[in-house]
Amino acid sequence: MSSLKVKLSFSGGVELLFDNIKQKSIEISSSINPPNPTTMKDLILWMKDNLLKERPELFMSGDTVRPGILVLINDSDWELEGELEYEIEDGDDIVFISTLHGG
Amino acid sequence: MCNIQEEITLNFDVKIKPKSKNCVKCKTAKATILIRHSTYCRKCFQHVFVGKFRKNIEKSRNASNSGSGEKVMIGFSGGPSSRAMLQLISEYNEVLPQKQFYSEIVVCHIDESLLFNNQKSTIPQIEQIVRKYNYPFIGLYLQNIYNSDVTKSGCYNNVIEIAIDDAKILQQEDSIFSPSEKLLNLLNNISKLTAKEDFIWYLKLCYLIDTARKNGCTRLFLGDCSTRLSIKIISLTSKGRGFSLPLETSGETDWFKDVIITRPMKDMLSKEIGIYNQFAGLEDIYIQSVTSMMHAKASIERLTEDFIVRLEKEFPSTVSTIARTGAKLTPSDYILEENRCIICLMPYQENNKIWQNRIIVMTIPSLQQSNGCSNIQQLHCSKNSKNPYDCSNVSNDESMTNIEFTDLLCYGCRVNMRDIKVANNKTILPPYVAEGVEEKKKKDNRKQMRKHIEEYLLCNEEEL
Repeated sequence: MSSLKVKLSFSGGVELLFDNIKQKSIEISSSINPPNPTTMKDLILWMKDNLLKERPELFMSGDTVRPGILVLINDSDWELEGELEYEIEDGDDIVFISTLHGG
Repeated sequence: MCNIQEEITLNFDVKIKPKSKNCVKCKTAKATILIRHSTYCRKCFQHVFVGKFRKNIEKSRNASNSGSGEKVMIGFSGGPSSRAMLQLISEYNEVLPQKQFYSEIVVCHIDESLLFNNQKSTIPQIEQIVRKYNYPFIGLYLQNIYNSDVTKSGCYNNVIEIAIDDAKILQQEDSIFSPSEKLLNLLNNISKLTAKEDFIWYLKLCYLIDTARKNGCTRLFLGDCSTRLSIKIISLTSKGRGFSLPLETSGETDWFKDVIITRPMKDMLSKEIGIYNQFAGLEDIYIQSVTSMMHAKASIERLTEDFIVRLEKEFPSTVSTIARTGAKLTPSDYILEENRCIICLMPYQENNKIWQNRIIVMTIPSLQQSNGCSNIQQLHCSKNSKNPYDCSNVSNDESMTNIEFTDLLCYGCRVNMRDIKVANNKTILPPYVAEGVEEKKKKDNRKQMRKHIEEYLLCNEEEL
C-alpha cells in the first residue's frame, strides 16, 4: 500500500489545538479505509486521533471541521472540492484557518 | 405521506451547490473560492474584495467632506480583520502618491496580555508589522486606563471605589495598588464572563477614543467585519443594549463628536478576510481573548458566535441578512447627548431606572427603606479631594451631593455592575468614570440652581 505525503498548516488559533505547531508534514496511507481511497473525512479523523492535543470539540463538529474554521486545499476552498468527499492526493497542501474570535 | 426519510432528501435539495465551477465574474477561470452562493477565481476574488473596501471607505470620505489632510487612527488588535484593514488602508492611501487621502495614519494597539497569566506582550510583534508601513505606532497597555491622563482633562486622578452599598469617589493613591492590580481586581471581582468581556471591550474603546482625541485624529478605524457585526447585533440585543446598538454597529458614527468611528470592513465576511490574508501572505498573530479555548456557552458573545457561524454554514446568507438588517436601524430620537453612560460612554434611555425598578424586584419589599433604594449604590463625595473638580465646592447642601451612581449607567452596564462581587480586593473603576460622574453632577447642580433662581432671572434665553 502506498502512502501520501501531505502538508498541513494551522493558523488563526487552530495551532493551539495542535501543540502550537503551525506546519507539519505527514504521511498517511493512500487508503485508510480499504478499498476506498483516503478522503478528507479520513484525514480529519486521522488528525483527531494522531495530532489533536486538546479540546476536540473546538476543532470538530460531528465528523467535519467546526464551522468558522476555513479549509483550503492547494489554495482552493474545500467547499468547492467536495469537502469531506475530497480524495487526498500526494503532495496536497491543506490549510486550516480559524476565523473565530480569539481563535 | 410524509416520513422522516423524505424530509432528509428535501434538505439536500434545498442546499444549493453551485453547478458551474467557473468564476462568476470572469466566466473563464476555474473557480477556487465559494463566497455565499458565488464562485470566484483567485484574481476576481481579490478584485471584488478590495473593491468592497474601497467603496466603503470612499463613501465615508465623501460624506465627511474633509478632502485630504485628515489625520486618522487605525485600531489594530492584530486579529485577521484589522490586519487586512491596515493593508487595505495603506494601499488605498498610496494609490496616488501626490495626493494622499489621509495626511497622517497612526496605528494604535492595546495590549491585553496582563489578563492572561504569564503571556508575553503583544506589542513587539504588532510593532514589527506596523514598521513595514512606516506609520507612527502607539502601543498601550490596557491597565494604563487607570492613569490620570486617560481623562478629558488629562490630569484627573480620582477613581470610584465600589462597595456593597455605595460607590465613592476617592483620590487615587498610586502607592497602594498598581494599575495592573486595579484592573485585575476589577476583572477578578466580576463573576460572569459576559460582563467581563463587556468591561474589557468598553475600556478598550474608551482608551482608543481618548488616544485618538489626544493625538489629534479625527477618525478612528475599527476592523469589525460583517460576521462580527452580525454577532454583535444579536449579542447586544440579548444584553439589553438595543438603545445604543445602531451606534455600536453602524459603518460610521459621530457619537463621539470630534472622533468619527468608521468600520470599513463592515461588508466583508470573516471567511473572505481569512482567504485574503492567506493569499496576500499577511502574517497572522494569535490574539488571545478571555473566551479562547472555552466551551461555546462561556459567554453571550461566544455563544452568539457559535450560533451565527453554525447557521452561516448551512444558510450562507445568515450573516449578511443580519448585518443588513442591523444597518437599517437608525439611532433613536430619544438619544440625548448628555445621557451618556459613564462606563461605556454609550447613550442610555432617560429614566431607564424607573422602568427597571418597576419590573425587577431587587429587594424584599419588607426590607425596603422608605426611599425605596436601599441597595442601590449611592455616591458620596469625599470632602478632602484636592482637585479642580472638587465637588464640595459645588454645593454645601449634603443631600445634593448624593447622586445615585447607577443613575448614570446604561441598562447593560447596570446589569454588569450587578455581577461585581465585593471581595477583599477593592473594586476600583478608572479615573475617566469618576470624571464622568463629577461632570454630570456639576451639570445637574447648575440646572438645579437655575431652577431655584429661575423666577428672579430677567432673561431666559441665557445659556445654562
